[in-house]
Amino acid sequence: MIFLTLVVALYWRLDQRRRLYLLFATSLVFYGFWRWDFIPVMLASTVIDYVAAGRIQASKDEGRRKAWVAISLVGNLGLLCFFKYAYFILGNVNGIGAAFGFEEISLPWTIILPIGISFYTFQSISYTIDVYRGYTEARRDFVLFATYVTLFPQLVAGPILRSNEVMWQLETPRQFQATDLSAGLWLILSGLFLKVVVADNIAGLVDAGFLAPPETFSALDVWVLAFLFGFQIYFDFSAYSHIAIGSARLLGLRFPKNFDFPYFAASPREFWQRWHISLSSWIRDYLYLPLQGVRAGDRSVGGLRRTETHDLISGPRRTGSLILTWAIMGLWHGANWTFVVWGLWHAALVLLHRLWTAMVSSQGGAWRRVIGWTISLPLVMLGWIPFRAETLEDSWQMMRLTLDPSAYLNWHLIGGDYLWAVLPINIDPKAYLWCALIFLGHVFVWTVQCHVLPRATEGHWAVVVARGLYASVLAALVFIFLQPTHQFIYFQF
Amino acid sequence: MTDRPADRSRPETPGWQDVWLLTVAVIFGLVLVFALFGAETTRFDEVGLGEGTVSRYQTHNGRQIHCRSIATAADCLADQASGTGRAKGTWLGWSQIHGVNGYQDGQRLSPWLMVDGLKAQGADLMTFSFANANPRELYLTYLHLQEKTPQDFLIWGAWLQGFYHEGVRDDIAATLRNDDVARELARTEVGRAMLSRWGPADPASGYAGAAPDQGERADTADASGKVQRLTEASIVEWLESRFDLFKARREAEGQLQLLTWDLQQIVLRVRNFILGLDTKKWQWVIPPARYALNLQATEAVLQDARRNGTRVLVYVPPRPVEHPFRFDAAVYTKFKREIEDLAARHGAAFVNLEDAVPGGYRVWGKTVGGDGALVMDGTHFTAEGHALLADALLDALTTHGVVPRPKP
Repeated sequence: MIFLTLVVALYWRLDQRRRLYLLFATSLVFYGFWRWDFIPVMLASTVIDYVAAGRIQASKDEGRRKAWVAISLVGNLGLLCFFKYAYFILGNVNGIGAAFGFEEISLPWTIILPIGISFYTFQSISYTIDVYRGYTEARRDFVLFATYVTLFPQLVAGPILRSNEVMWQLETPRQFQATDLSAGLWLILSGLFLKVVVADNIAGLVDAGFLAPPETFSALDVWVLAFLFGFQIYFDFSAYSHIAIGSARLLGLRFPKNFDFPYFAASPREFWQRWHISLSSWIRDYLYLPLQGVRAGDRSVGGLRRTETHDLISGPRRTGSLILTWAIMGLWHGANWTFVVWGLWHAALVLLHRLWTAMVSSQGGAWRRVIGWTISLPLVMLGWIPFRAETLEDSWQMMRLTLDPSAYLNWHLIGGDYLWAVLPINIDPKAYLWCALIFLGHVFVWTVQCHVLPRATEGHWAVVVARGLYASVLAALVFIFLQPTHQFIYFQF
Repeated sequence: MTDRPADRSRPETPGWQDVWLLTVAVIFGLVLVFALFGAETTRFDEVGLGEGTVSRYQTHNGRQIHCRSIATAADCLADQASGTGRAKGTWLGWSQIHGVNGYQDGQRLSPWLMVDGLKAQGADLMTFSFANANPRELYLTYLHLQEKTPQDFLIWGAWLQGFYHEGVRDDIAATLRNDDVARELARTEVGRAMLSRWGPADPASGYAGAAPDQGERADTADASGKVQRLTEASIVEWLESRFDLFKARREAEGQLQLLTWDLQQIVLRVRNFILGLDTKKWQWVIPPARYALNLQATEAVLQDARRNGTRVLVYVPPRPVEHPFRFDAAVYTKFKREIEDLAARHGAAFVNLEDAVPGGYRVWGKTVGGDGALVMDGTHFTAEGHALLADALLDALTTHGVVPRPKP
């Protein structure tokens, strides 16, 4: 907060050119707070795409242009593979090798995954491809481009921004506006509340739950842990997005929103139009649609929404593209088969939803949405089990319990004096309480934000007082629970 | 090429009005925290013991004989090591050992009485007790202590309620990073399971969780942000040392945690009222897999102790017969039989002290509430109860030859 305050205060005193230098320099300092020795890796990615984009724009030769796109992809994905997937690949090679009697290979050094690499490489790649597609112009100004890649509010965990969304803002002289200041502060306060009061307080219960041996769980425990982790990761990540978007707003920069109440989606597909929108849009435009040979968009909005290119191919190629896309989406989150399973789980949900919508009429209005939500939410939450579980075996054991009727009750106690004990609760009962409280709280906030506030009269004294009290409670709780030790989950990806 | 979209944001409220509102609201929120929590200092470590019970970790002639965490174990170990040539022993247990009902200044608890009683027998005892400790936690504690200073004898309480609890608290889990402890754990099935679950990272394994030390996983980003963390921690520490407002944060956090506990109780009472339930009759059911793991941990301790020549006394702890027991009688009987069998199989002494603290409310009771109602919680006793337990244990230690008889 001290860092941000200093940067913002200095930023508005400088002219546009110096602001760019300030943002670039402070972004490197910000990254250096984590580890300064990984700054060259980030700059390497930046230089690759700066050069590649410039050459693509300068060249009329399609083969040469494609070659530079390939260089960008190989360079960025090479960095990502080396730092993120080396152990994963090696582990799998060793596993296969062991089956054939080969000796285990080990790396002579320890590889540490640079924080934010999954985000800044994707952002950098999108620029080069957008230049190739003619969606944007290659910039000659290296500092401008480097600032776009390293911009500290979104550097370590997104949103993954497109050049079309940010570069023009960095190039244009911005005027200080009080509305930016107030909107930014509100977003930061909300983000801090979601992180330190909600996500961090349930983190202990989730960690303890997932560290316990799965064979000690009941089916109810698994459901509660799935929901609780679902809430934790959502509030943790959306908190970061709130803070990132709010911090940028203090600098007069506007980022698109990254979450839109995803747990109120009425279908698995709609979930991905509301969850981590900048990533799902990226995957849509640079992977899923190209796999089908379809023209992609140039904005990090909409998520995996059906685009204007509705005339998608059908049949096995479309299904194959979907499955491959989701497997890669899973792997992007972490180098482990558990993430691939999570991705494939969502592929399966989307495919089932496609089948369902092909069979059933799309009429039905509100009730249809309620039923869709009632079915989709538990399935999406259950998908978090492989995402969070330590091993595939643990995931499988936990998922299997939800299908086992005997795991829902202590059958041997039925008929005794202990009616309530037939419901097996083997994890900390507080997890059940928090799960219920957060669920109800989330429904309340969604109702107020989506259905009450839009109808409220702006500036009415009751609205002003309510906003003031709301901010007081948020600030008090953030102040009480703010701890220096809890990092954001998505920093790891 | 359309790089620059039109600004289509809807008209917003006057910005400065909102900034002032936010500023005033934040200041009001901080004042509220200070007004509500600034003057109070609650001992939250005792709240979990229940009203009327306090915790005491006593010293004996200036010697630290009772530790509450692995983090402070060095104090107990250093003081024990100073007694050269004397037998060294450890007593491992749960809140029955550090909790006391109706405590008055100057009263001695069982760890102090035991140290005093064993002095004449040339033995130095140190005690480690943790609230709701389960055998896997105690197994780790035992290995940690053995690795630091090999113990000549061990007093091990076999508490069925401990089998009900899951998990390993952070300071105990930290011992898994010790190579010697890890090597010992790798000898047993339960130890290997603990290592894989709570142990340090294997570079080849993946992890998506939110544990504070997750940055050590080599294939996930090192999110520990050491410079940032150290900077923030130093700032917070400085602020807490200087300003009462920052000191109030701990009190406020504790009180809010208690509030969630109260809320849980209210929810349960409402449920009981609506469904007409009498929860006093209910049993605690230990998941079979958890029971098996805790039993294996108990056996692992006995095996290791035998291998290292550490004499062991296993005891079933006292409990008030007047208090409703939360476990099924058949389960409890089976538990005692299995513990006794384990002790016999691994050459440990066994004693059942269930009835060693008789006296009903006189030794188990405590007064609670504004009207001073006399109740018992089924686990903790008064200083008199502590004396009875110490007598029974001292007698068992001598009778079974775990420590030498006192010289006449």
